[in-house]
Amino acid sequence: MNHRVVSPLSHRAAEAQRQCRGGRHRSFATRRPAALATAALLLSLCLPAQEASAESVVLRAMRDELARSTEELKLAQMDKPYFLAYRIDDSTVLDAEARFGALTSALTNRSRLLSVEVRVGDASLDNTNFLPIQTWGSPLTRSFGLPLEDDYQEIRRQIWLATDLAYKHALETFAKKRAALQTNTREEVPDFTTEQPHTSHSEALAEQPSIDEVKPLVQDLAALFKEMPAIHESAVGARVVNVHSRYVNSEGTSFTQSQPTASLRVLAKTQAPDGTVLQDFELFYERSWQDLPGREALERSVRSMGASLAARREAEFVELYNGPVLFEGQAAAALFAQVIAPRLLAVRVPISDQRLRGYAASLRNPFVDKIGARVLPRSLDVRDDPTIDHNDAGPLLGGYAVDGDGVPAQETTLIERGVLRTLLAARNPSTGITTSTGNQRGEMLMPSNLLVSTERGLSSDAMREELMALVAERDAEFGIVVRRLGLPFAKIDGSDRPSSGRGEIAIERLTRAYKVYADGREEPIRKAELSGFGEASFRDIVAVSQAVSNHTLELFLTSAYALRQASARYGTTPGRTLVSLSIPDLLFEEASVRKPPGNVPRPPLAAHPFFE
Amino acid sequence: MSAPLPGPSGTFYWPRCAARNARHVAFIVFVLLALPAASADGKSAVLEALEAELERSMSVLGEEPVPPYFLSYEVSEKDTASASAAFGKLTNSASRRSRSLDVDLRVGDYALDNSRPLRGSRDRTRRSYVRMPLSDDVDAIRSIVWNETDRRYKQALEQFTRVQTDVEVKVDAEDQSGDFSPEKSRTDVGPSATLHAPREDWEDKVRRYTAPFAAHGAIYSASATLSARAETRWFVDSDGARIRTGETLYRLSINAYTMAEDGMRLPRYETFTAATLAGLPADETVLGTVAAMIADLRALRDAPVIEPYTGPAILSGRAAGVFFHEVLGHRVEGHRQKREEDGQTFKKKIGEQILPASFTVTFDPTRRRAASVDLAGAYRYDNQGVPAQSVVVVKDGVLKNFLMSRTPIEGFPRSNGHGRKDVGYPAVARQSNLIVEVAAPVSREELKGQLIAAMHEQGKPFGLLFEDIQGGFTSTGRYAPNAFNVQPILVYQVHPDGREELVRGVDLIGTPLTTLSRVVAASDQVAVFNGTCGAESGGVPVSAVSPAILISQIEVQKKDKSQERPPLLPPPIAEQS
Repeated sequence: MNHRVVSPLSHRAAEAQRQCRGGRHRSFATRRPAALATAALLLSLCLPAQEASAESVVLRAMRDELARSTEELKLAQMDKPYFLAYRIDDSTVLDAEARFGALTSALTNRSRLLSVEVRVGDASLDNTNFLPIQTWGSPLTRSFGLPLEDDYQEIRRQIWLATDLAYKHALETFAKKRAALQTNTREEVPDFTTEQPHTSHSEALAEQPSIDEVKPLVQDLAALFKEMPAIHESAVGARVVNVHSRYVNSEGTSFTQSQPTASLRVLAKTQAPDGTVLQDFELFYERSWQDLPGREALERSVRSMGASLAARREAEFVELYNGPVLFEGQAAAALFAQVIAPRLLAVRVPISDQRLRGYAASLRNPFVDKIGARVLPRSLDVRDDPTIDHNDAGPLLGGYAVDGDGVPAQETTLIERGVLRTLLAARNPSTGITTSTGNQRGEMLMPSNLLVSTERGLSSDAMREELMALVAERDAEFGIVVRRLGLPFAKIDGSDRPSSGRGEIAIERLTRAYKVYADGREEPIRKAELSGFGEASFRDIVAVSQAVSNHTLELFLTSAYALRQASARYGTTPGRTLVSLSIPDLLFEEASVRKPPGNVPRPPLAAHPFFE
Repeated sequence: MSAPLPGPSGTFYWPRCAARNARHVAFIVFVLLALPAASADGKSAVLEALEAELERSMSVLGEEPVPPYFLSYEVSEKDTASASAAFGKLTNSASRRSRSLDVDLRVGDYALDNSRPLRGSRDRTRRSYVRMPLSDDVDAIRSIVWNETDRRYKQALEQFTRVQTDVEVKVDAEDQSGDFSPEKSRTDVGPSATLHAPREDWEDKVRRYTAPFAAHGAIYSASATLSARAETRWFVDSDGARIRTGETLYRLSINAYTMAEDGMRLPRYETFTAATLAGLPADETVLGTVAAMIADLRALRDAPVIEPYTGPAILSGRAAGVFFHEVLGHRVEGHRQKREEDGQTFKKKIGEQILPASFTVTFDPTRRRAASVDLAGAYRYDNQGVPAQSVVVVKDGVLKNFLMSRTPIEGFPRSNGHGRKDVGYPAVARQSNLIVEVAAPVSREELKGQLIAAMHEQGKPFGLLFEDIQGGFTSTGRYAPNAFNVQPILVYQVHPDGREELVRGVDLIGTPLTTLSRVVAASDQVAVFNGTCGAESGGVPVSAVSPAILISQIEVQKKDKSQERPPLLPPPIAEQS
């Protein structure tokens, strides 16, 4: 390689190219001759070519060790594994952040991680669906970083060691579960679904930008805050991630799949003159960096968000409001994602040790008992559809060809005319749900693209009229429209989420809420939160819009059990999952909105040095 | 064994390779030693931005009813690069640069301020720092510094009220010294540190260094990491300090482990540390070390397990260095003589004999090299802007001094340049380069002869020789017994006929005063242990330099061991015998 490369990414490109050459694969140059044009492009263009040879080496190592383990792995008088699965994820991450025009972080990273799933017993009763007291693995449990290089022997060595640990851990867990069952009665539901073997291979890897392409944009967008004296703190970040997964299991299922994403986040924070802390954000997700909105559109968004945040500093509070509330766009999506989406998952109540029984019972999803019951107004249907990547409202990023268990993606009708039909499931069945809907996403059971639709939607003007009619009915002075709810995953600092009462779902604060008067005038509300809001509130939706909008959110199930279950099954800690929602605006007849209680810090004592 | 976490009772460990052991903190911090010849023109945009904001903050906040009496800013830049391989294949290669801001803002006065720990409180200091621009962008730097200063000032006010109440309602403190020492401010704008990290070359090296392990199926993990860190620190304070220092540290670490049939995990670690790239060892040296590691690992699997034992032992220079670091070093850190939760082993022992009269122990961050090895615990200024200085703690066996940050203790009102910390923590007194010197050393053979004589005298069938260790930890608190634990990797049983036999399965334990009183002799062979010390102010690079020592009586206890079996299936590779 004659290139002298300096940036970390081009360095990786060089590395990748060496790998290409080192492999037995020969089609690299002929397939993508243009790839040699610049060092920066080498990575993206080399990888697909490299893939062919890498696939054979990595998959061969996975298959060979799988065959050996299935055949021979057995401890003395103990059970053999009845199911084994390996997944290897190759990830490239590029992340840059800037504040006030200056870059504060820029990094690229490449990793290859192995996850192993071992089941002992049989499908009717195995080592999973169990919550033991002690959940930390054996002292040797660790994450299995694999060589970045496609070396058959070294990949097999790591798979061998990881399988050995996972098998012993599975045996121990199974013994504990059987012990717990001595004093527990068990639901007569098997532990593992039966699925048809399925093979699905795709080698596409999106082109990655170089970090030097990303830096100027985040710096320039961050510099826009130099025009905004009312904003105290701000950050703009970009993240481009590509995860390429390879999977094989002992049932004959295998897949390869790439899931690239590019995102841009803009965060801003300030204090009102009374000290109230105010935050806002803009988030953009796409499959590739090139698909993100253009610079001008981004600049407009940043300025508009800044202006909206600045306006809230001077806005009034609403001490307490009871009445109709219209959730538009992102606010409708975030509300649905926080309140209804977790209820659409067939999370199974695990067998547990005596002392954890109360906790285990609290994991019960109340929607399990609502199948056949009306949970939304009759006008709404909800489907989960990972097979599509866009609809009329734009792109949807929650899709895939196969889920993390290799189950083919499929459309699932969840709610029909307001009535709950079924729940999303992975391969651990629960009462009434015996097959996977193909929603195992990485380590977590998650929705993919949640599509909320209606056949009786109103125009946006009609929605507004409906809101004002309800306001008039009550002789109220104004109604409330919410256009943004919550904060993105990454906060500038601290948490701004109201603590939830017992049994109440913690819903993030209303970031952008407005009072709407009879004459159509709108006034921003400084800061507000919902009170006493829950899944039952959704039955009181009185109108929905005909138009839907699409929003992508990063969901993270915070239930300790969900996390333990994931790490027990795969030995890795789950991350956030991209879920897209396509949803109309939602008008609730009745909701309580209040000023967030509690103390507020003093405003800054010195003026911002740049604007002083 | 419960995890030895740094707690209010003061528990320390010295993980030589923390990342290999989940029970130890997962950070390894390196610092720099060398001062490359770069131009020091005294100009620095970062210093100017910090000074401007410092001046403005002091003036605006000075108008408040409770104004700050001291304010300092420290920006640390860490420019790092590393390449790692396992069994001959690359597992990671990355570089990263970050800058972070630490703020020390104090309200009250030198006698009583917001930094005073609340007595009896188990509240832990939480790590807090802010990411700074990677460039010298004055506007961006100042806007972040402004915001952080405001936050810290409000925190300080709240905390000061708590401190004042605490002083009122609790019994009088035993130690009536103040909370902060006034020090002379320095202006010293030295060169920034620059990184020389030929990563492509390193990738090739770490592959070659780990390739020999690949033929051994019973070695379950074998990795090598070449890493470099250039750290530049900019420091300003309201007394007028204006400092820039830069240090670099290069390190090669090689780690491997095997497992005995009984499930005992048997590691081998080797580390080379240098202030310059050129200071790292040549490939032949490294490959020789790797071959020795493989031989040791194979021998360890078959080595017999020994039972708990008391009797005489020799600690090699590196083992002795860690021993002194744990047993003596952590107990002469100044602030521990003041905190009423601490054991204060040596507080009232100034002027008393604690070691044989031939022993002198110095902490010297100005020393850059010993026994042909660069020392990791060297620096020019501590994290409170105080110049590094050599501190004689034990002179001719008599305790003379403590390691001091700017937190005074009774009888020791000034800092001696040992206020240290990692980014995000408040500085406390920490060790630097611990150097043990002995007036009348003996040869290695003579030391072994003395060991055998001690065995005879005590009627012991064997003595022990601790050749290499992975680290150790100690508890300096009052809640738990004030003990230490040194974790050996290579231990030999020394038989009366002088034969040395490799054994496994024990840790060296003891209590400080008893064990120090049994140190009887030292050899003329000095060795260096470079490592990272973890305590309440984070991980800091330290060194320990010591000759091998003979202790007339030590105690060993059984090592904590996994209950796992070795892998059930044979390795999927062709085994080399």
